[in-house]
Amino acid sequence: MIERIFGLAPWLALAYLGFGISSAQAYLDPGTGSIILQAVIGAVTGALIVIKLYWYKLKQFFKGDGKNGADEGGDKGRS
Amino acid sequence: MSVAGKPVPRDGTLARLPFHPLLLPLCFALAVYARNRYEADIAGVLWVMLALVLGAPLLVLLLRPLYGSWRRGAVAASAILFYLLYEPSLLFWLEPSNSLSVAIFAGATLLLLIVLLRLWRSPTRAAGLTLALNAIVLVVPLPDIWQLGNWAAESRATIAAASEIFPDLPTPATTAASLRNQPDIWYLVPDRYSNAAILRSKFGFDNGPFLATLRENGFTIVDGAHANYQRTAVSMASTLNLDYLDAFSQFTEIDGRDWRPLYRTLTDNRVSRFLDRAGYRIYRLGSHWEPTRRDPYADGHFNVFDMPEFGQRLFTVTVPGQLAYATGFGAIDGWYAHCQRLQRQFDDLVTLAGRDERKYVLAHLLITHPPFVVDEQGRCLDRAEANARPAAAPYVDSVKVANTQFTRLIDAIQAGPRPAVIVLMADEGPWPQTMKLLKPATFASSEMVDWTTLSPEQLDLKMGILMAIHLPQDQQSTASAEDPLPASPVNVFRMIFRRYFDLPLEPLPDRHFIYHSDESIYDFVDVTERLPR
Repeated sequence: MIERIFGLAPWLALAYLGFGISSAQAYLDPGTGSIILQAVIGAVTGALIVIKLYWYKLKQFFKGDGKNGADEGGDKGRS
Repeated sequence: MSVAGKPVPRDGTLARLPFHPLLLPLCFALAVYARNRYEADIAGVLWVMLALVLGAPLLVLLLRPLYGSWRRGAVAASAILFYLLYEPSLLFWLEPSNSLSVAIFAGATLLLLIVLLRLWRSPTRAAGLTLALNAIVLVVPLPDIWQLGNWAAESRATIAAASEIFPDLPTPATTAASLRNQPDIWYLVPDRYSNAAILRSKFGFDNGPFLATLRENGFTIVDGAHANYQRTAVSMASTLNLDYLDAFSQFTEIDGRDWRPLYRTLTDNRVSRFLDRAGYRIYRLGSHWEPTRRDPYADGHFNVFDMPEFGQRLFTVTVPGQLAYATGFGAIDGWYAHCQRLQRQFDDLVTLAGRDERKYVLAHLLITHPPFVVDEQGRCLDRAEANARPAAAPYVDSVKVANTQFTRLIDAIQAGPRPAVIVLMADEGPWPQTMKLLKPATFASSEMVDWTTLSPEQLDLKMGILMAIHLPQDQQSTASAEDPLPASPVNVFRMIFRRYFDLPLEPLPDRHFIYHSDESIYDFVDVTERLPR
């Protein structure tokens, strides 16, 4: 199943030929600048949260303590 | 609950409730809306947002069984939504047909698949991911919300109704005699169809045979006609409200960049309001463009790919929209839809011509407006074929196709059961190439033209229009020396309503105006003396 999905990728890529933001039949602005700004803000926010979640592990790492820290996100286990 | 004797801390709300897939599409829509707040119709925006809000939970519902929990399903949904909605905009800097764009797209697609697969196989509860994604969707729209909030507070006073700017005309007479005298009214607007002199001098095309055919069919041609304003919105708003746009000067609080009050008077105009009260059946054949796409008084709309312009725009910058563009896939590709619309509109108009009812038909036809999607036989071209033609050929081909279709339509109207006034009149001329057109073969318009700097020759080209009027045969004699046919669009409906509805509407002096720039669209300059007579 997964292999099949991966097999589609080159075709999707081919279909993508000519991409970039298309010259749409519209007068409205595609809002590219605002979307990029959102992406940047999202990346920074995400990075800050990752640092917060793993701050203890990072601190341990730089302190040279070989022991793993607690899973502060409580993020193990399927359910 | 405890693990190995240690209590597991309870997740906070942000880590527990996976609402991020619901807000992510709204963030995307807000970004595009914030950029288009001076033009986008809020009703269309709200419809699109509603569709997004309803669509995102469906995706989560589909993914939840596969991923075993709401949180994991929601993370997978957000990954898919981010890919579908944001990825094309992040590749904006790539030139079309750039192989790098193919490589990056393939990479992004593979990355998404890897993320989905890893998430599926990993035992994570996704609490941390849920926390992060929730926080992200709460933070990223803040600049857009701030911008829109400030703007809404500033522009609260500018929401004037169309009928405040252009009050209703007097109530139409509805006696038996007046009803007998009232013909059908056809207002056909081939956008950017130029006058014969310009077609000859600038495009090397002789439109004489078509104009001769029109004359044989009882039309009067206004030679060398010019629009009263230089662009569609201002020009049609003036024509359909039977007046110049000076009324806007009374509303000093209107922001000079805000197109919405103008659009409102175009959509909700005096002609439609009056004919609706006169009991006419009203039909609208619009385009993708919101201000003429719909008429609130219409009894019927004929269109293809008929969805709010904001939704169309949003769709074009998503992965499905870009795939439709790249593959030319069916009606969801704007180019294809544009060509289908052009062909269908004339068929629909011919069908309407056979209906025995008092009707008013407004068709805003983009056949002579870029992108030029047909060859001179009217066959739909793909983008490569269309772009391979020499510079002036696409426009001239479109004029030829328009002529063939108008001849067919006029024959049908005149063979139909009802007397008809036919106004075949463009709203503006083609764009001079000297303006900074980014992509002459597309809809991209030059946003920041300083119109006051245009030469008389450029103004002539931009404002020169086809203008032909036909009155019903048995009433032609009423076109007399003391009541001549109008010489510019602003007087056309004044003439029609004066003659057939007994309204006391004197002709206005024929003047021609331009607005300064897109920063001040309600400041008009009279350029009548700069245009050739």
